[in-house]
Amino acid sequence: MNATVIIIWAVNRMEVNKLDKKREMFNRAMAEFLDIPKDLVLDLPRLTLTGRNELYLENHRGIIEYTLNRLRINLSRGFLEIQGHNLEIKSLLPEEISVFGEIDAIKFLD
Amino acid sequence: MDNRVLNQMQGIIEIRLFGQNCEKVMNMSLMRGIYIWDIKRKDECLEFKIRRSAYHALKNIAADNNFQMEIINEQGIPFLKKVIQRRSGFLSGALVFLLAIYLMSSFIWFVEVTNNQKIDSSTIMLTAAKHGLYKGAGKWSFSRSQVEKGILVDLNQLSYVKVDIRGVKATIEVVEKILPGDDITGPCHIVASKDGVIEEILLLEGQMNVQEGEVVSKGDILISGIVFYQPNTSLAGGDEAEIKEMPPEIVRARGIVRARVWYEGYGECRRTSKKVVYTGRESRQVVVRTPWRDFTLMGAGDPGFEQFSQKISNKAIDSPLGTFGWIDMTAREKKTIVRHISENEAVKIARENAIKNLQGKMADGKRHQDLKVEILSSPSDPVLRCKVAVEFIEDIAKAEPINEQ
Repeated sequence: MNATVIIIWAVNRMEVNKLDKKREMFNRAMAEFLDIPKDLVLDLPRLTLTGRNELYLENHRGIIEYTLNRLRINLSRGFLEIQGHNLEIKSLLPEEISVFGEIDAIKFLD
Repeated sequence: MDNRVLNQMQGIIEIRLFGQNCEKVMNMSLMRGIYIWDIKRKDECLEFKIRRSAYHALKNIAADNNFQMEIINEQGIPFLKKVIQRRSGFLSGALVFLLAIYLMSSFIWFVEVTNNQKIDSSTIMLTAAKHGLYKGAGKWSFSRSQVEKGILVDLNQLSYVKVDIRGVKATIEVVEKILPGDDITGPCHIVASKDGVIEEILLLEGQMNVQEGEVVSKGDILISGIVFYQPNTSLAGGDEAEIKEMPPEIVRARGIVRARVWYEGYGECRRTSKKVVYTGRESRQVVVRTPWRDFTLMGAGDPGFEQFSQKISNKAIDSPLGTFGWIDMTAREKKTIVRHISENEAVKIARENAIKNLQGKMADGKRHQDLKVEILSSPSDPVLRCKVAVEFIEDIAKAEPINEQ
C-alpha cells in the first residue's frame, strides 16, 4: 500500500520535473533571444563576491542552515553552500542576503 | 532598506534567540517581511537585530515555535527616554549650564574704548554708562544706536562714535573732532607769557612796544596790535594834520620775542650718611632640645657682636614626654658706616637734585644759558640746601586778543 503511494508520488514528481525543465528551457531560449538578463527571467541567483570576505546574493529562497563555518541558502533550484569561518549574515531581506566572514568555498548543490 | 538613520529613529532591538533550528525563525520572519540584520551565530544561540516595530511579530513567531528570546540591547531614539530618566541629573545640569552660558552672555562684561587720543577713556565710558552701556549691563537694556547718539550729543569733542558688541565685549570706537587751533585770527597784541629780559625781537606785524634789554613782566604788551601812524618828518608840514587825523589801525600783531627767563629749583643733601653693612663675620649655634636639658652642639650662646641680625630656624616635635627639638641660630655681624660728605660734594649732589626737580618745569629743547647756585643753609647745618637758578632764552610771545569796545 505504502510502496504504491510512493511510486505514484515519484512518477508524478518526475512528470512535474519534466514539465519544469521544459518550461525552463523555453524561458532560457526566450531570454537568450530577447537578450534579457537571465536572473530576472529564470529566477536565477546573482552572486556578488567582494574579495573573499563579502558575499552578496540576490534571489534566494530562505536559509536552510546557518553555523559559523557553513551557510546553506535555498535557491529556486537547488541550494548554495558557503564554507568558511566566522560567517555572519549582515542583512537578511526577502530577496537579498549579504554574508560577511572568511569565505573558503561556494558550492552549488542540487 | 538598510537605512541607519531610519533604524535609529525607529529604534533597534538586539535579540538573542535560544533553541534548535533557529533558521526556521529567520525564514518565517523573512516571509512576514521582518527585516533582520547583523545575524551572528553564538554557541547555543543566535544574535541579531530587528526594528522595534517588528518586535511583537517576532515574539509571536518565537512563541509559536517554542523558541526562547531575550533582549540584549536597545538602541535608538525611542529608548533614549530611559537614558534620559537615568541621567536626569546630568541632563538637567547640562541644561542649567547652557542656560547659565546664555544668561551670562547676555550681559556686557568688558567695555573698551579705542581710537581716542585727547579724551580720556574713562570720560567716554562714563558717558556711555549714562546711556546704559556699562560693565554688567544687560544687552537688552540699551540700544546701540541710542548709546552712540547719546555719547555724540554729550561729548561734543567727538565727531563719530561706533558701539560694537561682540559677545560679552563692547568696543566703543570714537573719532575725535579736530578742533580749529587756538590761533587768534582777529586783531591781537603780543604779550609776555613770563617775566624776563628781552634778548631779541623780530617784528613781523604791529608796533614794537619794548626794546632789547628791557625787563618785562608777565602780561606786558610786547608788540601792540594798535598801530598809530607816526608823523613822518620828511613830509611837508601841510599833510601833518591830515595824517594825525587818521585813526589807528588795529592789526593782528605778529613777531618773535626772545627773552632771558629764569627757573628756580630747590635741592638738598645730608652732610653725613649712615649705612648699615654686614661685616661678613658669622656665629652659629646649634642646640638640641630635650624635655630634660638643652645640649649645645656647636658654637657659644653669645655671638659677641655689638650689632647683629639673627636668623633662627626652629624644628620641634611635641611628644608626651615633652618637646624635642632642634634650634639653629645664625648671627651675622653688622656695622654702621658713617660717611661725612665734604661741602663741595654736598653742593654737587644738592645741585643735581635741584636740577632734577627743575626738569619737570622746563620744557625740552630750550637753550640752556646760565646756571646759578645759591646755598641757603649755613655750614653748620646737617643738611645742605641750595637753590639753583637756570637761565634760558626762549620765546615769550603770546597772542592776546584786543577787546574792542
